[in-house]
Amino acid sequence: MKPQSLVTTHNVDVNTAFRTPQFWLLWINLCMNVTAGIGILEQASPMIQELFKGAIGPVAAGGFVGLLSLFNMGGRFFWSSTSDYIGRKPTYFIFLALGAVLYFFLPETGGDHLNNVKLFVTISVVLLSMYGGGFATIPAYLRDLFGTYHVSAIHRRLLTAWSAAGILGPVLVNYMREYRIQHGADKASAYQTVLVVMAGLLVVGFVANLLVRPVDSKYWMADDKM
Amino acid sequence: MVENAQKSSAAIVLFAWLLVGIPLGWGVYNTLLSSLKLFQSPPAATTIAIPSK
Repeated sequence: MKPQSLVTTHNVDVNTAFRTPQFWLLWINLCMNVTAGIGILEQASPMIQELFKGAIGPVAAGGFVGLLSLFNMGGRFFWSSTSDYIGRKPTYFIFLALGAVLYFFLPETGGDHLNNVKLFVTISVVLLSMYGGGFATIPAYLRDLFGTYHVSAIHRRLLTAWSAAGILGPVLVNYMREYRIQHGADKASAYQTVLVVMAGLLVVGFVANLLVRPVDSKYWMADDKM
Repeated sequence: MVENAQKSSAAIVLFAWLLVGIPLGWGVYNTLLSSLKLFQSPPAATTIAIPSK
């Protein structure tokens, strides 16, 4: 593993880390990644049934949700291990860029367009693997930027991004979907707008990741304080 | 390096892995079984145009 410029040998204490731009950029990163993932996870069963009306029943949809869970779990091992080799920032670039493209394309696989269940499932499991991967990679990203001394406490504060996304994701998906249906869209096409917005959120996360730089030396802890 | 580290009992390690691995494996197996239905579903209903007499 080659040393990377973002990997620090210094430490930043939790209260100081909270005031750095890096903390909030990672907060946005995680929040956007989780919002998009949780949005699809929460609606997975009705979404596949409505996008492939008549072809996918409740039992098959249950299998789809199970498959998403497996890839959510597997992604945590795969992507966090990958990040050890390619770096945390490039790994997040993959989540956010590839994720945005896949979310944008996902509605095209539905019954009204390509009508391809296998492609829909394949894209969805890749997206969910990156949702799990984002969650699993963030502690290592924090360690790289802030050192090990308070990494657990910094991670605890960063998890507020996950909490916020847990509200934002389902609320966004449900409200937008209802809004589209109330304005005359059918259930399948209502998802199109939702998924495009999810892609937009990932673009916001991509920009935040782009802005991540090594933590300024003025924030480092002095050796005698450790 | 820790000098006086005690080695864990292989039996306990094996037991711990089985305790986690068996239910996990059962869950993964059943999830995969139910996800197969996803690929065995009939194709979406298509409208067949019947020429009018």
